[in-house]
Amino acid sequence: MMNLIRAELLKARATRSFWALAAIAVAYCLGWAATEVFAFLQPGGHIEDTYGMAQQGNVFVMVLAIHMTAGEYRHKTITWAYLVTPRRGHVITAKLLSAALVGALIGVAAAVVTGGGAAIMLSATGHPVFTSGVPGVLLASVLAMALWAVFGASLGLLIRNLSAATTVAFLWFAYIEWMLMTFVPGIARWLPTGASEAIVGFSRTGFPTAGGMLPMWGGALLFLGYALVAASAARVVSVNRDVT
Amino acid sequence: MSAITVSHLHKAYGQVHAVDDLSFTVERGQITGFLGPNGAGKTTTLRMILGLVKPDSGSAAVDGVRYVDLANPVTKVGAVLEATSFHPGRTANAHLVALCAASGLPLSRAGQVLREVGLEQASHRRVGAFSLGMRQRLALASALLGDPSVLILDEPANGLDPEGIHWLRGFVTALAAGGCAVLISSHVLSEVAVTADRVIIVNHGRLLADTAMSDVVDLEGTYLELVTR
Repeated sequence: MMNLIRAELLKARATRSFWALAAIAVAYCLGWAATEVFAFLQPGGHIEDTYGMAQQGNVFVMVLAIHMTAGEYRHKTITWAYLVTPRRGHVITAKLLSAALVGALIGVAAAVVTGGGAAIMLSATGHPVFTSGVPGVLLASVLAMALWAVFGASLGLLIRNLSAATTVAFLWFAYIEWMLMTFVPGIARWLPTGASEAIVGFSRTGFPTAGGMLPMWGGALLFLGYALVAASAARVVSVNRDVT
Repeated sequence: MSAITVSHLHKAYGQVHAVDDLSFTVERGQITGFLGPNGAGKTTTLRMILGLVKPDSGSAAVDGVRYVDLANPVTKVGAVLEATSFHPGRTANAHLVALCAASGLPLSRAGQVLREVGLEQASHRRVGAFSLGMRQRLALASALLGDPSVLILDEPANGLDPEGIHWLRGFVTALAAGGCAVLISSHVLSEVAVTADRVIIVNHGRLLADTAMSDVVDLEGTYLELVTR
């Protein structure tokens, strides 16, 4: 399994799109931290929310993870993977674990950059720079990024078509969740975005306000559950499907 | 025991019998040509041998073992399937290094096989910029990583220039002379006629001929007679 995870990481880092998406994810987090400090944060407000922006680039991490899995079908490199490791379940497990690792590493980068940037900006604008809640928020951001990567990798394995997987993810997070939230009161905190925001304990947009957020562990478990359901479905369909 | 044993393989796609009760063996130290028109079931057969496609019935084995049950298959079987199956954004070296890592081979094998196929100059270029012939060489390099004793090549001459075809001929002939079993599917009858020791002809998924090349006087005539019958 270590060999397979190593192979997945080698494959991922060998493309430019990987580094581009990772850089965008980190920059996006920093951009949102700046927006939070300069546009939203009131004197005496929750400075933890600024640090919580360290997971705001999660969509880019998800897309990157979709590339790690659906990209294999797009370029038919999955054939090589299965020729080397005909026990397909091992390949899929390795992909999910390496996606989690990649997500966590980008999460760490985002936490360092966003955390540093937030401290400088908060200090420059006369806000308190640190509270006892800050380290927890940064750690939770790293966890959220790792889970978003697993979610993306599963989605890519399940749908297998790179454009379709990316489009489905976009439609879901940009429109469908919002429609569900509008028409089904109280559902918001049970949706993936609601679960993800519960992990860092704040809502960027008031998304899961109806009924309140789940506790942090609840959000993490629920989001992990979504990712694992997608992953299990992906595993079932991948193991028996003909590769032509 | 034969290097490859195909017995009573059957695979249907809807109403179409892609492979229909196909049986043959491939022996060590020989080049076996695998011929048939487009859609005859050649690629499906090769993919069933390699565990990529599941047969509806029948079985295929390498050294008596199903491909999916081989402990580290790349050390036993090398396969070249499609010329285009690379990520265009990865370099030749990155592609091979990842395969080495996945199969537990030393990463230095990547450089060795690139030299063997004459791609060392291009090792750090992205595959997206490769010609079809270079991709075929890279596919062959991938197949050679584990120093296998069985090679399965699906249309390996596609996209190769005359010099490349000449090189490939010498390459597979040397491998067979060294004791490897080589199974090559091809459309190019003249190429098979000069390289193969044995020839298998299929159409509509069924075996039409399985014979030593030395018994074939006119491969093209025999082929045309069989597949148009």
